[in-house]
Amino acid sequence: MYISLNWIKDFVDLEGLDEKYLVDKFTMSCAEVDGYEIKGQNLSGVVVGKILSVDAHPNSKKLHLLKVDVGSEILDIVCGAPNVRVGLRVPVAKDGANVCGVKITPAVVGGYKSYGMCCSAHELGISDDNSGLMELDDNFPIGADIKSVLPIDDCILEVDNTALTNRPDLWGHYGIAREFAAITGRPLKKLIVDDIDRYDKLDNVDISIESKKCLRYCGMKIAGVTKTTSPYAMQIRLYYTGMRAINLLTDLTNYIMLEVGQPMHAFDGSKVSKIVVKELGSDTKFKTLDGQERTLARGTLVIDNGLNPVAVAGVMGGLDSEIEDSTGELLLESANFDATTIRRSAKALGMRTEASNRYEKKLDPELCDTAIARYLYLLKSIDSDVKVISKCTDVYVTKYPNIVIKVDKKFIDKYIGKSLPMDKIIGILESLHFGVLRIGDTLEVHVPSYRATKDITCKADIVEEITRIYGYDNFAPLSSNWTLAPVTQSVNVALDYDVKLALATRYNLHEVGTRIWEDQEKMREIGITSSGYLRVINSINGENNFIRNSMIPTLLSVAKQNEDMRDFGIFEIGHVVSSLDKDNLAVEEKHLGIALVSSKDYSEVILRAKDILNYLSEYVLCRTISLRAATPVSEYMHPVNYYEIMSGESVIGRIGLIHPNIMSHFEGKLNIAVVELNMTEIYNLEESEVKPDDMGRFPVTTLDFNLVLPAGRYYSEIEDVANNIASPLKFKYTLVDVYDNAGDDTKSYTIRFQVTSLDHTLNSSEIETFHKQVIEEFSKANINLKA
Amino acid sequence: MNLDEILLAFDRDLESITSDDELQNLRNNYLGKSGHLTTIMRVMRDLDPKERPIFGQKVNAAKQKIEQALGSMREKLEARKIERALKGTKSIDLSTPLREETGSLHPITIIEQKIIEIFKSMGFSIEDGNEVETEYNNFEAVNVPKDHPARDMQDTFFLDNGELLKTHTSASQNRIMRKYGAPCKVIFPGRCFRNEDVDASHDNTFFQVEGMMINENVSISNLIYFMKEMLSKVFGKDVDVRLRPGFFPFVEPGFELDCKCPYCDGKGCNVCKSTGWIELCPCGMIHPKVLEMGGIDTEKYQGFAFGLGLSRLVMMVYDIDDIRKLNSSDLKILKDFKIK
Repeated sequence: MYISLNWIKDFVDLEGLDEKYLVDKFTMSCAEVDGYEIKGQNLSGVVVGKILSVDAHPNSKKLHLLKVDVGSEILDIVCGAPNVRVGLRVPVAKDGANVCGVKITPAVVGGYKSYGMCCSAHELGISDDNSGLMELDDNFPIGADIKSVLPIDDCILEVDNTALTNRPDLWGHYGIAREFAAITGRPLKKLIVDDIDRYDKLDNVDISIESKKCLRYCGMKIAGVTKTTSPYAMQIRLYYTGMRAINLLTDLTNYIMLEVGQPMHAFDGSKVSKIVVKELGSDTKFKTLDGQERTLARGTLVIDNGLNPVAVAGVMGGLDSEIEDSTGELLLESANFDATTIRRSAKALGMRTEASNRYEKKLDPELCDTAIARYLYLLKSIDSDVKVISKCTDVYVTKYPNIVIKVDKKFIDKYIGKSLPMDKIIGILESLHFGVLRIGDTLEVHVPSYRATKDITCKADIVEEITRIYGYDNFAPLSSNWTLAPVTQSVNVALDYDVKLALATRYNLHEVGTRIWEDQEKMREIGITSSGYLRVINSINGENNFIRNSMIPTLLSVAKQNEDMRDFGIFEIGHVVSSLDKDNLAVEEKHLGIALVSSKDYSEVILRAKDILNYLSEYVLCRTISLRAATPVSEYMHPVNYYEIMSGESVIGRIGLIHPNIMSHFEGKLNIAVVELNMTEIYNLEESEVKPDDMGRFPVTTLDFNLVLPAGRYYSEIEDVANNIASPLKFKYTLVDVYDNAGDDTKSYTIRFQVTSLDHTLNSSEIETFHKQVIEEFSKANINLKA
Repeated sequence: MNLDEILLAFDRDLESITSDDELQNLRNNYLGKSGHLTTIMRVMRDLDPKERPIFGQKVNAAKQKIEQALGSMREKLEARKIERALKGTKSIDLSTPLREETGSLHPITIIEQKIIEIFKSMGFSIEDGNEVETEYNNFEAVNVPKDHPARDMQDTFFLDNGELLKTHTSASQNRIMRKYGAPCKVIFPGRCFRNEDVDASHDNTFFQVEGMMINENVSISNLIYFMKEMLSKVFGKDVDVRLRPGFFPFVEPGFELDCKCPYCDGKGCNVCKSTGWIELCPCGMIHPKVLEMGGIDTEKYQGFAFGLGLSRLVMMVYDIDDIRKLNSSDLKILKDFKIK
């Protein structure tokens, strides 16, 4: 929002305070000022001139030769504007003047010397109008500096709108002036308004409110308007604050909105004499002021003249009842509507207007009649002929409750971490026009209506008012006096970091960060058909991007992106949605994904993956896992050498190679091995116990078994048997050798058992029994000794 | 050979010795079971008993002499060996790096870990949050009801089951308040998503670190302290912070926390766009409604919360000019973030 400092100065004396100071103060105490612009600084040496003669230019149809009286002299000026005429007073830039940052010097135009330039309003920087010369009042003194007759010098602040979301009272200059008054400790002047009570004896405007979404509606009829254009000063302010001058009656509604913060609407009195506020019963076509025909949905809150809609409430008026230059009678609206309703209307119509922007902030309904009284005051001061022909008819349906908040000084001190004197606290609140009643150390704070629609509701809000005006710069950092005690730490974040560190430092992998959705285009690039449990319905590229249920596809996409590196590994611990629960809500898990890209043989890559997994489970995660050969469900996984990572009987991950179908999308001959581990499951697993493998103090006997497995069977079968041998003896085993047998595709595994007893020395028959038992158990599982 | 001849022969033999093995052979030849000295002792039997002790002494003296000579020869050989070892060692340039490639952590992880360590050292718990959230957790529970204009401040990615991708780490506040209750000191880093146009300073996926501290006396002054400490540790020097009013529905009062630009000490530079200050962190005292929804007794407890822009901080620390690089997965950029 743009704020004119000149306008602010109408209401508070800022004498002696420079722009930078004011901007900083406002930013630090109220809302962020994005920037400010000094208007008029690129304009000097422009005076009021009177055109004495207009002669045709011999060489040009467009150009004219003028003689212009600028007070001190009469200048020859060549001018191309269409509206030159004798007697017209115009702004004239004399030799040496500065216009739009350009220095004006005598120049030859079309063969004739020109000793100055007549200016348009656009060239003065006070309008978009560049169609011709600015036509000045006939009573402006010839030769007077233009800045002495037009308020061109100003400072315009741009306040961040999002910082004002919760402050309906700051959507007008008067509200901002109230802040400046509090910040600078200077008094706020009263808003001068017309005494509208004196028209109470006149007829009512016919207003009926048929929807609860209209909180208040004030209407007044005025006739006898003869003036059509707004005074220059008003036009300039409107322009500087982002609006466009249209005609007097419309400009005034905008001016009041920018000043008081209350949107208004002026209907052509000849077309609207009755007001019905209602929700549309059916979809209705309607032409808005901007000339566009729109369909208003059923339920849209509208202003109706008894026959058809004349305005979309709080958003925009209709073209048919628009004020025109010929309008002499108007019906003035100043109303308050439900914030959410207006927000929805504006959204549905795709037009956020200055009015709807304000209404959706929950404006104070108390402003409605003030705005009318101010409008009338300003209109009368511009056009003394106007005649009020109705009373200010006020239908006030819903009032916001008065808010009174009791707050202890102790609470305030505790909240801010510092003790403020009571009179300071009261002084600040009163400077913001809060009513304050002190009862001992308790304050009873009466919230003004313009802060009471949603902004101030609780004690914390009062603290904010006090602290921001007191100044946050006046707070010193203060540590806490928290009692020392051990802090609970969740296992997950710390474990994640340990995993990442191990992968990066021990295995030289690179951590990447991929999106949570699978970009369809990138998936197609590597031949993966994306799938998942959830879709982003408003995705950026318009495709149905699935939320990933595995880390692998996005990692493969990164592998593809970096394939020219040939041999490298990447990893990420990311979120996936692994299913939906019975309420259709996402079941979210964190997964570790690893992809090893290699130009070497596939067996080397998959073994490296297995090595990494081993290291993680034993030394980083410290959780017991095992591998189980399986058939992959995912099409992108290679069917051979695919294993599920198990914790007991539950699957907590997978390890394998990428399918040749996918690999064919990569340049050159590459293999990719991947590991995916469900970290959410890992966090919940018990850490494996660290216990010394105590074999006691009696002699330990070593027994080696040479076991043979044919191709297609797994070492894990040997482990399964060995782990389940029931013996009274204490034993452990290790794999000491593996080798391929010559002549067939079987493999031999040398398993070394160490056996003892914790309470005696084993005798030979005990050892013999154990030896037999081991062979028997293996043979039961169809695992035999090497012949 | 008589004794003198033996000694002469020994001296001669000794001269030609060059290795430990030869030395051992030499010893065997003279002192071994069938060595010259052992053999000559046998002669003693045939001598006059009177001469025997004299002969014995002579042989012993010869034996000692030989032992001594062997000993010093051994030392000589040893010294020669060491000298050869020294001379034979090639010099290796250890300043040459061993491997070209080393692994890397994502810059977000590195700075996040730094922040985690800082807050852990101040007694905070570290938590984690979901990325898919309910509308309730993301909005309602942090005091942004339906149709609140503040929802426009955050363009949201919606999912087809009615859930959404969290737009801020505050979405985890409610769950964490319910888990810990009051008092609590927690930070929770997380990845957030907004449906925004992507440019050098906006990405639809970005990182925040949220923090909350709730207790009976937690104050605005505490908030300033913890923010200042954290930023000072991150930048490795004393950093000034300032609070400005800022509106966020989940805090009251709400602030924007700026830190004095650590690169120019507030004088104005490219990083701070000549303002001397860098906006880093929306924060404030947790709104009583948010505490209530989190099951916390607002008569007794109050607290602060902050949502540090981690992506932004990382960009500052590593002088990264384009936020998109963080999510680029481009190893040409990422592989340089090695762990120190």
